[in-house]
Amino acid sequence: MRIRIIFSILLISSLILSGCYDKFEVNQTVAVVAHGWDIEGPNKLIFAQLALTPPREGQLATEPKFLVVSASAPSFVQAGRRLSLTLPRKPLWSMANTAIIGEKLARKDISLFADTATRNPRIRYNVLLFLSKGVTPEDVLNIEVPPENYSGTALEKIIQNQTGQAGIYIPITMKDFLNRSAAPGIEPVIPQIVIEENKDQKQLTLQGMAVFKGRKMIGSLDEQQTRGLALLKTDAIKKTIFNINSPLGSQENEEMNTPDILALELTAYQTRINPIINGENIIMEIEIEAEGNIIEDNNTRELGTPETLRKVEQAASQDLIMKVQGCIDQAQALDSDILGWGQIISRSYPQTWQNIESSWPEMFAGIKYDIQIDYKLRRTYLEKDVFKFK
Amino acid sequence: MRYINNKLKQNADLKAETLISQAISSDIQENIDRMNVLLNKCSDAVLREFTFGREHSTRCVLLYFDGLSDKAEIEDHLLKSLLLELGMLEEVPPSLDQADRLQSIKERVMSLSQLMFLTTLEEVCHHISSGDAVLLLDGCNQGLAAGTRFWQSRPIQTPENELTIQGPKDGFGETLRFNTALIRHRLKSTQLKTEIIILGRISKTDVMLSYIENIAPESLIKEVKDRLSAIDIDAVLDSGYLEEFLADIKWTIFSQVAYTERPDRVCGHLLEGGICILVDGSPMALLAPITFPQFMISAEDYYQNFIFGSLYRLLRFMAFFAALLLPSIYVAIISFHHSMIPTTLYLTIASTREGVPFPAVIEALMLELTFELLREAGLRLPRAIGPAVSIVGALIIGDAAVKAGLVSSLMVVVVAFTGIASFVIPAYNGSVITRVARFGILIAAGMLGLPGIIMALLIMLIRMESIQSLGIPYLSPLSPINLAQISDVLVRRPWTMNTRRPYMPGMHNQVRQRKSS
Repeated sequence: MRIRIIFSILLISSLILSGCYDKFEVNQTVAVVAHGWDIEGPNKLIFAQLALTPPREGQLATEPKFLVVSASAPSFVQAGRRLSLTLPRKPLWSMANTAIIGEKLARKDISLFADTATRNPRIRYNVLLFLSKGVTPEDVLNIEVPPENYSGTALEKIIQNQTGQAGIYIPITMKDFLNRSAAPGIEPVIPQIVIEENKDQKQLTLQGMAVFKGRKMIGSLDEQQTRGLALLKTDAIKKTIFNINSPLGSQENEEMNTPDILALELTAYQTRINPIINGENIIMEIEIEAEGNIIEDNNTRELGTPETLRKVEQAASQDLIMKVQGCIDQAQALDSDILGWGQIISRSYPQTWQNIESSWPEMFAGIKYDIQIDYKLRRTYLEKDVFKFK
Repeated sequence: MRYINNKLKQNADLKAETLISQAISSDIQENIDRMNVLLNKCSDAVLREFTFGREHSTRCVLLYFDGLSDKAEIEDHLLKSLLLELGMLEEVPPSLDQADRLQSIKERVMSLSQLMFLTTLEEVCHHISSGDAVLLLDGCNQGLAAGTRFWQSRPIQTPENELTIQGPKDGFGETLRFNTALIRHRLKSTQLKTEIIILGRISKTDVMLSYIENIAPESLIKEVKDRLSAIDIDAVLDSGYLEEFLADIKWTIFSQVAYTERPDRVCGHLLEGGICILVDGSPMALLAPITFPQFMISAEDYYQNFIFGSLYRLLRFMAFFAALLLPSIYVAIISFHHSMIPTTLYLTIASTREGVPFPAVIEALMLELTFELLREAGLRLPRAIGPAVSIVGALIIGDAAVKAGLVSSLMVVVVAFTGIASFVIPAYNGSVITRVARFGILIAAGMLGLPGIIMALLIMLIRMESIQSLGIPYLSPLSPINLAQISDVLVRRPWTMNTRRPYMPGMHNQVRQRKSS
């Protein structure tokens, strides 16, 4: 019995003595919904968008809803800690789902930032990365994006939502970015965010993707080229809409001088890239099987016959080829293997890859390719014909 | 004066104490005197002296307690028979001695079914206190007890604490006899044994041990009998008195017996080889041995479709874990592990906690205590003002505390949910265990976060593993694992598959039904 009592006293005291050293009440903290990273001269700048919690129910909501704070120091960690000189609460960096890299930092050297991102456990690997094009991350974080309370969450929702709607940009997480930076035979890209002035109102919008080579950003893809990039990876986007000039032609539209545009939906696609090695020559064979629907048409001729559908399919395939080609040309022009061709070769021909790995950055620009796209129409949304006027 | 009074009182006490163990004398006057001493100041005792017979007129005395016996029966079958119908007695040859006289009264005069001979005054006292009428005859050193027990009791009512939608609606009452009838009504077999052990020096309570012969293990019955007969206490007022005498380990929150008001549940338990203890004067039957998972089982599970029964049972297990852990997990996460919360949820929590002056663990403890207070108050309050207090407690205190910024509304939600979840557990002592354990886990969570919860759970688990309820491991069949029985604990298996009784050491009759082809 005595042993038991002593043992239980020891047990209980170990509970009490260890104390609550790690405890942080919610009231002592503030959530960081997005963080930004940039440089200015020799100093590193860190930005944090802090969520100002609305007061208890029954009281009016605060205005503004968030606060952007910044600090600068020669190292990011020190900058982050310097926030405590002005901030009465402990920022919870791990709450952020969005990280914004300033263009200046990206163009200078990404290694300024990569180590912090991997070493610091409070920077999550699944934060979505954006690059603030032409502005600082602070500007981006300061923009209000109704109905969201914080631009950080808004950006996260925008990029995820658009993959099933407009279907242009590929969400890139910190993990994707760091993996692509570390792996040979592939270069990272990041969606770019810009601020547009629209009727005196500033708004955020996605515009192109930043292309990196090695340790820094060297250029960007525009929207059409980004679409090509998405097509080069199976299921990078869920759905997209693209327009073609109708291959059928229409007398009436010409008379009315109405553009003859056919809007098509791409609902699923599968991409296969096979390197063909022919002595010294490497040819990338790209095959894309895509399917989709007719979703909008603005003339009156009949659509639903096998012949017309085949024509539409061919024209659509041609249009998609142009997009893919545009992306590959831009990548080769920038001399950055954002398509991951090096990786594809290394998987299919590990022996060859060992020989060419060192010279791959120079070789990439000269690689030949061949694109075949087979776009199939699945449905016309139960409308065989277009809207008939009297 | 006081000294003399005390002295007299002591003498009287002494006299009564020695008298009680004496045998019935053959001199009626002596018996009357003795009984007068024993029944001194008992206003409800009736001592009726009378003489019967014409030629062999005999003095006798009839003793009973008013209110415990059926007066009409005594008058019709006892007094009337002796005083008016004694013609029959005249046929008895006078050569027979007095003892045979009593025998012939028993055999030929009394038109009552339960009759018994008594030899000591102690027996006389016990029988009249139990409601029997006792007849003492002049010249006869035996008494005759007639079973005339009858007193006002609560009619059979729906059990208040174990309500079910399906299944029988009758519940035990305070009278042991009616309760045994409710059990035997369901198990019409002489294999159902109902042994009476009298416990309590003053109360002399009938404690009934019932089991089904050939199903309940012999060793179990013997053990229970030994433990019961070792009890020397002045009174047993409820079956709850016996729990601590039966339990192997006393210093624990884990109750090793179950209570029920439902005769159907008792029958189910007996059929699985358990024993049941009923105490006269208590509507709660005590079931043993019991294992912890059985606290999650409601009798209703077995009356409805096995799929619904299984789903409800799983729901109850979930409710058990919610009742045990929810406030602790909430406190641990918001005070230690912020990174585990999704951002949007964190912002909601942060906005409800804004301005709350207490640490989360103090807040949780305060609210849990308030909830326990409300529950206890609601239990004890007269029915007329009960609802008023619940409204004041739940609505006004809860709402006002949130408005005043003393507690966060999310914590109120968590505590309220936990409270509701704890009431889902069908066994009352099971839900008490859960509520008590919750406080320990909450304190550990407030100090160490999730590791604290794990530590507290481990301590709890180790304690539960170390307990046996009359030889059955407390966590069986989960630990030690018994796959055949798990299917009837976590879920409710269909009756057609329920071919064997749960295993118990020493049980020989395990087959419950023939396997249907």
